[in-house]
Amino acid sequence: MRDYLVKRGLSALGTLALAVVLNFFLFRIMPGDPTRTVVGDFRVAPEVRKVLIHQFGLDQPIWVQFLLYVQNLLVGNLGVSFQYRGTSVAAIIFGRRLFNTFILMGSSIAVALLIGIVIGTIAAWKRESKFDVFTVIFSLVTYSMPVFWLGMLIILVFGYYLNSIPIAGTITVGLTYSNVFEYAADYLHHMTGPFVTLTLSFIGYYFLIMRDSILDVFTEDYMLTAKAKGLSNRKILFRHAMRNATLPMVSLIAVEVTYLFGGATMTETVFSWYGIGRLVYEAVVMADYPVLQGIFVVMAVVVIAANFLADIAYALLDPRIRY
Amino acid sequence: MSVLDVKDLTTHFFMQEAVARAVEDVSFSLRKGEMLGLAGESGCGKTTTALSIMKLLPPGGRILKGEIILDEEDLVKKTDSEMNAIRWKKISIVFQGAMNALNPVIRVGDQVAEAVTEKESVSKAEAWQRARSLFELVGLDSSRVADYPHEFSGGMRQRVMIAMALACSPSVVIADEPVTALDVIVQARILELIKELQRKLGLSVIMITHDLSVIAETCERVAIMYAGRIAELGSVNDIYKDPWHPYTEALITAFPSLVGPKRRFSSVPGDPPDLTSPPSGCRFHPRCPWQDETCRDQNPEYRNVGADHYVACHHSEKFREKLLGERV
Amino acid sequence: MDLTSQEPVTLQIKEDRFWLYRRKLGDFWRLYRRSALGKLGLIIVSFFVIVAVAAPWIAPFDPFSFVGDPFLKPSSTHILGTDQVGRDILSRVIYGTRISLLIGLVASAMTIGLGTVIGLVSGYLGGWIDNALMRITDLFIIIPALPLMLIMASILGKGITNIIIVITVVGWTATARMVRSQTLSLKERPFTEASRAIGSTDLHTIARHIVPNVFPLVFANGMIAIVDAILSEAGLSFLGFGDPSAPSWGMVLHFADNAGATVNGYWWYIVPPGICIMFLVMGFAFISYSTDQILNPRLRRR
Repeated sequence: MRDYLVKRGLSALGTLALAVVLNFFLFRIMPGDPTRTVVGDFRVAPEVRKVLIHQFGLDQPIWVQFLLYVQNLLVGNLGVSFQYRGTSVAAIIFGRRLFNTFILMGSSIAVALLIGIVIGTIAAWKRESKFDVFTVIFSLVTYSMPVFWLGMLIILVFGYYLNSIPIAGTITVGLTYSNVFEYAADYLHHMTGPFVTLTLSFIGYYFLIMRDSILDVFTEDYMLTAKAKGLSNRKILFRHAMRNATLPMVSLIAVEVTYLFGGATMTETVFSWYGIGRLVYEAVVMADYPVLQGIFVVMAVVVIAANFLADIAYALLDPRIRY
Repeated sequence: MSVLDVKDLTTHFFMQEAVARAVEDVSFSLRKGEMLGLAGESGCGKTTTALSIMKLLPPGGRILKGEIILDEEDLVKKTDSEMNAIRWKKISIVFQGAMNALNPVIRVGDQVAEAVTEKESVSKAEAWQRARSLFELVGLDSSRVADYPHEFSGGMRQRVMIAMALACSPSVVIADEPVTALDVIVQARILELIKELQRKLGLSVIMITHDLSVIAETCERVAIMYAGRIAELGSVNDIYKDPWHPYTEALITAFPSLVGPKRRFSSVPGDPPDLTSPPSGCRFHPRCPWQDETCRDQNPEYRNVGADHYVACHHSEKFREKLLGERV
Repeated sequence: MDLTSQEPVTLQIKEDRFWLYRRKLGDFWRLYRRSALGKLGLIIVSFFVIVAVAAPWIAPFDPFSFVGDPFLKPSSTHILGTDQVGRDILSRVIYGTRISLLIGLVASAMTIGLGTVIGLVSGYLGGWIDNALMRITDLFIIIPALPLMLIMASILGKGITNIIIVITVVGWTATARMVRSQTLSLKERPFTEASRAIGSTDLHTIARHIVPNVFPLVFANGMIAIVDAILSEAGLSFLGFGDPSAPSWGMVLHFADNAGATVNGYWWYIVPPGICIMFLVMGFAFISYSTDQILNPRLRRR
């Protein structure tokens, strides 16, 4: 077990290193003026430019720049933003934005997983029934909808026509709250739109995967043994089938974190939710490269860490992997 | 007296493109305390018969007619939930190749115990205690009840399966190819164990296998199945020494003997039939040296030809004449 | 039999192989026909292909011309109304079929192509090449797709070619992994050894023996790649990275959002392009689902 974890840990670090390298060079291969990475597209006087180039080490050979970059990274210096003049990238990312994105992402993935797993199990059990056909088609439909369009529809229906949810932002601007609960209520009210959008967009995928996994398990011999023992259907399904079928899901969840960042970007943009996803979009539009680089690194770390945790979880859950 | 009576059992598999007539008009009785063998080539319907008795047929499988009488109740008429009460309590089954027959992520003790807690109202601790004593009964170290299936060898896993099958003290046990996946030495040990348990606990066992030597080792009576039908049924002695069906004789002579004169390998020419379109009349006729028009047209009657000896063949008398003639 | 003359034997083998493929295809098609979802998928996709091809004849107006007042509601002249500069929305949606379909197919083809090549090379050659390629693959799998696409798009700029490049660079990993594991298992099979033993070059072995066996899986994967490509393109276009002179459905939605269609309730501007994306994706998803049910024996119904 320990060897397994060490191996996985080293592999994770290796991938992280590669990610850092990629991050650095990705922004250096841009055509045109190399100072764009640091100074942006804003017009600056040539003398100022020269000073900045020297300050940021852009006149040094590339590998020196890389070392400088890594050095900065290790102390948490992610550079300075263009659009938010003077604010460090780290401050922008590790503030409200990260919190908002995690709350939104975390809750929607949790709910989507839960519903997907349970409904997937039931649908697999009642294969070919109306329930199964309905849920499969529902999943395929929501899976086929572009996330941003789903968001737009929800805004249209619930925001415009039914006027029941706010269509932008995390909180109502200018409102004062008398206590934490009022604040939370307003916050959650604003979160409803993006939450429903994200959850719906993920649920189909989890459902289909779980259903496939359970159907796979049904072909195993131990399912026949369980039935031969005269166990109730519910026991067979949830005790024997589900346990085995959820194992592959664990690895899947780690990979899903990756998609969460993407889905969140779309949703946050459509709903103007003040999170990391929206930040990506804003930074791209404003060509704020330091911010983009910073987000890249942060996302890489989060995803690699999530994968590593999933490896641990899998090793703990599957008794066959104890060595 | 018989504990299990199977009468005219007919089971077909309804698949997407065709119907497989897997078992037809199978009848036999299992007597109290006896070990009855069910032998035949792969695909002859032995396992389907077993699954029919337990009502564990896969989707597409249906019992079309027949009776299965256990404790004066017809299992064919039972619903699934009624069967759940009967399964494992009155009749259990040991599967072959216990590789995946045990759930790999659940401890074996739990797997044995869950059958007990489901059927009887005992506490989990008591159930585990029973699991431990069952382990000892089958020759396993009782401290291993907390282990996982992959930590056991093939032979040991089979012992676990046997222990599990005995958990609720059933009166009838079906053993479906219990030793096929094991090497010869382990085979012998497991067979010994089964015989011993049968004696000790007074079990009535149906031993399903394609290996006649296993039958010879363990059973008192045997039914030879071919293409979903019983070709011959009788005591092991009768079958070996006094076969009435050409298929039976072919099966027996297919095993070369260590003693006796050297001879060429004999086997039955041809292949087992496709059960979606089985041969007309007697299903064995395409491979039978004695076949004639009657065999092609009519299904032979399953008749009594001696003390507890049945055969389904049109030309048994002719066949036996030649056989006895050769033996002289 | 005269073993010195090579021609007839090779011809015969080629012909046999042709009939083998014909039969396998025939079997596949027979099974596929039974699947309601599969047939539905094919119908949907065919519908869009027809619309794309027949666009100039079907569309009532030129998608780029200003044919009416802006923001007209749906009427008999403009079934889907007009957009913010007075162009007919229905025509734009119809012509959008061409772009969305084209990008989807080209991008996914390149994705599959790149992934297959890398998978084959990695699996077949093994060693440090395999290690290196797999490290890179892991990296690209780990990096969040959309942010990476956005970052690359910001570097490369707008445009259809760039979108295709971006989708390919981000999406080849799934195919590569799958092809690699197939190749690895096929490498161990006797026929590969035999092929090497009689002196075939690596390329020959790969082309003749491994590729045909990898093909069915690649095909199934290909459907998913098309789905991903279409959705990715829609997303990128929506965020503004498409080509305004060749508007896909995603771009139409981008313009819709810019015009404030969502907050003003112009459902006729929002719903149609999205429904088209949804149905086209569903079509391919259905095909993928049905193909999967057939090719994956464990999921097959008895």
